[in-house]
Amino acid sequence: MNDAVAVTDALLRVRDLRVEFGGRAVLREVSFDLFAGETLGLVGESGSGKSTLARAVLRLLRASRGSVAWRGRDLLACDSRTLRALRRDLQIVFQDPLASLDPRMTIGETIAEPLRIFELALDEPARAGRVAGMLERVGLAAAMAGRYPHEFSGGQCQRVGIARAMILSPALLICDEPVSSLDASIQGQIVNLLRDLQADNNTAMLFISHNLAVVRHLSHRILVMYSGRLVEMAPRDALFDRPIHPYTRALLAAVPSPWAPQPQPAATAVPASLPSATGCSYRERCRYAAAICAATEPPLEEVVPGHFAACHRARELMT
Amino acid sequence: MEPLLNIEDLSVDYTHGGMEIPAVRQVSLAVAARESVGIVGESGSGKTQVFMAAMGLLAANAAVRGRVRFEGGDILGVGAESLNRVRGSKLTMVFQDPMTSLTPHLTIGTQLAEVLVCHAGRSWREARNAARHMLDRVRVPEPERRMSQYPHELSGGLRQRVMIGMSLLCEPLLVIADEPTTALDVTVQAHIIDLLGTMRRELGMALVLISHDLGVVAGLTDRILVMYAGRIVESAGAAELFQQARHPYTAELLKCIPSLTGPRQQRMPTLLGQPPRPGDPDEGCAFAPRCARAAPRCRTVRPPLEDAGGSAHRVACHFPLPS
Repeated sequence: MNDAVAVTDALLRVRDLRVEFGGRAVLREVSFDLFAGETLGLVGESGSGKSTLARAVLRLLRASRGSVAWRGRDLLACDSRTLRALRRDLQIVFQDPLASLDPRMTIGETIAEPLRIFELALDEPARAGRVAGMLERVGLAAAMAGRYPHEFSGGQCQRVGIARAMILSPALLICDEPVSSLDASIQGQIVNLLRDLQADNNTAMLFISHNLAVVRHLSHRILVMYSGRLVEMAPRDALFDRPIHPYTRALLAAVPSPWAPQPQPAATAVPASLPSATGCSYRERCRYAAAICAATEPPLEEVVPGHFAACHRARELMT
Repeated sequence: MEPLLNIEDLSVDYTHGGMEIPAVRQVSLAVAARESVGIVGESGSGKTQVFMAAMGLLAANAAVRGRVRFEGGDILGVGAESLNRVRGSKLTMVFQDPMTSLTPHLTIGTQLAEVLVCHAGRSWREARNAARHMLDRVRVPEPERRMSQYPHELSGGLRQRVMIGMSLLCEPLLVIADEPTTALDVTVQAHIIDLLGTMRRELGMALVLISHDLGVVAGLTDRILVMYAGRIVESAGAAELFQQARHPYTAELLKCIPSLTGPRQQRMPTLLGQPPRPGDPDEGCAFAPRCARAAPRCRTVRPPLEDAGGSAHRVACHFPLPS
């Protein structure tokens, strides 16, 4: 990513995005920009709102407030016809590679479907040619087009899901835990493939994962979510080398490695059942919580240039 | 002296659509009292199948051969009645998904107490007291209130604490934990690893930890067995394995683990190809098609699991990496 890109060049500008389910906010005032060619990593624990954010951005579920500007047009405000046209540029890869493919369609039909919807001028042989090319691009043999999803391994199914998402050369690809169900030896193949395809088209990528090491490998900038809010946002190295928010620190400390096998559970208390209504939602697990943390919710502030954190004690913690 | 759990020459085959599909091939392993052993391998490597077979928990279309002894007595193929004298009490299991392994329509208290009523012949009243005490011991907050709650009212981490508590109620000699933290968030995982380690020290039981996550296994076990395509390919002390893997598969697998620190590589290291699929010809070394060190012999002659020097380091490879 080129740091000199002006803010107005953002492909995707999300502002104050809020999602409520049954009156309860599960996503609260999330704002960020995403640039062409950039990979934004999104981390956080289950239930923190990562997938909700992805779906709200694509309008696969209704946001109750906020805006999602795609090249300057608000996806949340446009009519369904416009949305449908714009979606050609907005694609998603899901976590479960087998469940996200239609078992009754051959993988060739699955990959051709976006072409059938968006490239009406294409005749059957031309479509088959595009599908064959895409299959080879994702590392599968073109001759496999006639096979069904159950004939493939998890890693191969994920390649099919990626081929379907990338066949229209979208400008934005959202990956929701694309490698979480894959074995370690296969994860790298998929991550490298995503990176190659991104380079082909300068695709912007929102990469959701609970695997921090994979996120570190792939992302230019990282967003950390906790309880429906962004609590930290920083360039990759700043986040991994100098995390600010106590939650981010606990998250990094908890990852066990074969060479440093002592994760530190002491860094976080056992989570309370539900975050309280006022103050910082992390405070009951936070070893640094002070009186102010119970009184007001800390805003997401730029603590050092380019590095944002939502913590009352951010500046103290850095020293 | 005979080890606590002794598995000899265990094979598991499934019959499916008229085909014999091998899942485990001639696996022998032993777990001593108080020992902690890690079993690692990718999905389909057979790591779970070995212990499901030992516990008599496989489906009816699984054919199990070999010998499994626990505390000196045969437990393979002895029938549910004799098996239940040890299973669930002296020999227990913790599964990956704490939601599906708890019964949804019974309260936590009833499910825990039932273990002691069935296996230890306690009265319900005594059993409920012991259950409450155990919840406290595995650090479930507000044990009294949890006793009357249902599994869906608990978070994944708490459910896994309940499962671990349940596995410990009868003071087992061996707990088999199959991917106990895989469904959990990393911060919760750290707590569960810590809990398993603490309980093992306090109760002095042996532990078998099955996981695809080498980091999780590293923190909890003394010795690690690596499985590939239904066989054990390497076995060594935990520290030695991570410092000096001898089998090319183990070494490659370790390289595939991306790091949170240090320089980033441009591309993530990968293992080329796919593990063999069930039904593929079983000749030579199963890893040979993906192995950079493979020679023609590797494709035809299967390497046995042999001493590789060092302290109890064993490897099944014709051309192991130098130590």
